[in-house]
Amino acid sequence: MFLNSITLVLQEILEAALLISVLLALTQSFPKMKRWIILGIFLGVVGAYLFGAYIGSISEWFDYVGQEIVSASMQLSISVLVALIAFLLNPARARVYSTVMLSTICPVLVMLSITREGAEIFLYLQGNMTNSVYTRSVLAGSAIGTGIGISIGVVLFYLLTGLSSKSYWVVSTVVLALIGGNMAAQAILLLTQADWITYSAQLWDSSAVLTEQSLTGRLLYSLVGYEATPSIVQGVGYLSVALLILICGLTTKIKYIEKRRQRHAQ
Amino acid sequence: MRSIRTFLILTVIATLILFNFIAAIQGYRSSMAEAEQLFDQQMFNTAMLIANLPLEQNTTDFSHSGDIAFQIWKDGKIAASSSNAPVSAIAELTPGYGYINFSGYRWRALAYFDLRQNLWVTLAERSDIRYLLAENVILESVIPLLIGIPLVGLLIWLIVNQGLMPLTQLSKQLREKKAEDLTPLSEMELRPELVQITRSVNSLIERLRSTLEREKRFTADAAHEMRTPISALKVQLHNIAEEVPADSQSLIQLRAGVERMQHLVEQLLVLYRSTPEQLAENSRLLDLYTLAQDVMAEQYYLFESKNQSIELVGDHCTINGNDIALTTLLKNLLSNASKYTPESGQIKISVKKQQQRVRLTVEDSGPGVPEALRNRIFDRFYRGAHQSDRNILGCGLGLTIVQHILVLLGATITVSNSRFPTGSAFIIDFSEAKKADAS
Repeated sequence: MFLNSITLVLQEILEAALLISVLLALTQSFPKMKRWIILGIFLGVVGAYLFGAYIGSISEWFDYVGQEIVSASMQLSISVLVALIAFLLNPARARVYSTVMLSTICPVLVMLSITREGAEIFLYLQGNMTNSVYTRSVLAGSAIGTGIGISIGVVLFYLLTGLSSKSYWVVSTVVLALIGGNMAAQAILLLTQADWITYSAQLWDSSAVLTEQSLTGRLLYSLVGYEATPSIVQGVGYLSVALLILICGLTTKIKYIEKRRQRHAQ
Repeated sequence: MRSIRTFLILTVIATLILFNFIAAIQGYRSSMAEAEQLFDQQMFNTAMLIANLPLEQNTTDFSHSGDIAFQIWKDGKIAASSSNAPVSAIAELTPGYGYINFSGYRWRALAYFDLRQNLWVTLAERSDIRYLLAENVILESVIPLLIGIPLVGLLIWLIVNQGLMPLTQLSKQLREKKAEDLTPLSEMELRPELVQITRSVNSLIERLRSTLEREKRFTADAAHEMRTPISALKVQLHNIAEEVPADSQSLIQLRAGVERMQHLVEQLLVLYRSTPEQLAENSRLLDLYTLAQDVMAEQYYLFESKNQSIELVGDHCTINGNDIALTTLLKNLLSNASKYTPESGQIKISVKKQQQRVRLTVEDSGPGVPEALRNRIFDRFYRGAHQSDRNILGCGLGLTIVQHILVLLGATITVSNSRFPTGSAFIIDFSEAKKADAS
């Protein structure tokens, strides 16, 4: 139970911590943005509790696939908002965002992420704490998972802010692309389980090398969306969203650099 | 802006958690494997013990706990077994360990052959209980680590705060240093890392002090050097006035020019003489109402010459300030009001206490200042936008001096419309002097 608790909690915390760290690093020059992100965390915790507490009723929606549909919608919304953040904050573009726009997107993004990941932890704890024999190991495992997840988030934040402005944006966009792609792939899996997307053939099977349930598997799942047996649609979804975010975040920059080079050459 | 303190505390705690917790996971894994071996060894010993039990004993007496089940095989048949053992074989009769499911649980199974007794013992232990037992023992060493993390976090916070204390103190010393205080920072009890910063700041202060000293000397010298030729010019002007007719246009313009030059020099000297040090040196408690009354009396000739009516209303309010600077301020405001108010116009001064502040208002019935120009009138050498304003004697420094003095006194000025049909109101808010200031 101890290791299971660590891996499950770490996976969920890490997904949210990565997103929050990148958002905090990207918006550190915006006044009061930290406050909005903290508000998003608070709303996310409340959302996670409500989602977990009413999971019975939610599951009954959409012909008893409510949980899958609601989770998938949240994940797809996260993908879209992450792409929007990459587009808006692209430093090469003229200031196309307004502070109001960012102050709305950031807390919503954080709230959705924490609601989804938090609800999973809530349900796991609720399910396992009923058996008092495991209480200690579940709590200790959850604490260790939370500690590692948040610590990785803190280290990532300072690593990002310590980078030079050029590589800082590129690395942040790559992390955003991984988060967006991961969320899209997870949403497709849930929609396939709910029969909203038809089942497609398996892209590969690497379960013999690394299972998803192992600690490394779960870590990679959180970091890059690793799956031992992904379907073709999941693969396509992952790549499309990740590419979209990379294009939103980086392309104009390349054009901009070229323009600057040309201007210098002249 | 990223705080050094937050950076140090968060990264040190995060690194500590990462290494400790990963070490705990690694420790847990190897301890669990060790425990597994230990339990297996214990099973083996139990199997040896069972092999030596007298077979005649009633089998139902064996094992009451339910956690261990066994069978004794002799000549291919079960010779004895515990009450909780399954009917079929617990394990294949080949020596070694394995797993089996029965009675709704997963069991660790062992097949042991005893050469001396020539019999097989198959033994099973509930896997979940073995696991729980091992986990509980190992958690005993993990939980103190978890409880310790907040305490270590607190310690790190205290250590970082203590470590940054010299920096905090230096920053506090700089923050609390008044603008007029040009004494060097103390280098006593400084950490080696801060010595260079302090020396650089001290060298900067020293350079600033000598620059200010030079400027002060220059102002004093310039005052003397510029006043003397102007006085000589005035004497010569007086002599010329006796030789040429009084209505000579050239003489009138020459006199106006010399007066303008004298005014400009006086105003320039006032502007550069008022420094924070001078204001702080001669700062004392003053009754603003009485001061306004004195300046009004002194400047009365201005209003009389234009047949203007002037009125002072309000209460006796005390403020902390320098009387020379405040007199200059009032003189400039009143002469400004008189200059821009037409003949027979009205000027009103009021001194009133408002909450924790003392408000001085100078209103006139002149043309007023358009809203768009209200910020510009404080610029150096700015004169009114109309041609008529440019005919008024002045050099465009009066309101600049007013604002300069107000900044040094920590007071604020706003310009709005006066309560007369036309005209402007200059509203100045001073901090009221507290009793402690008097000391």
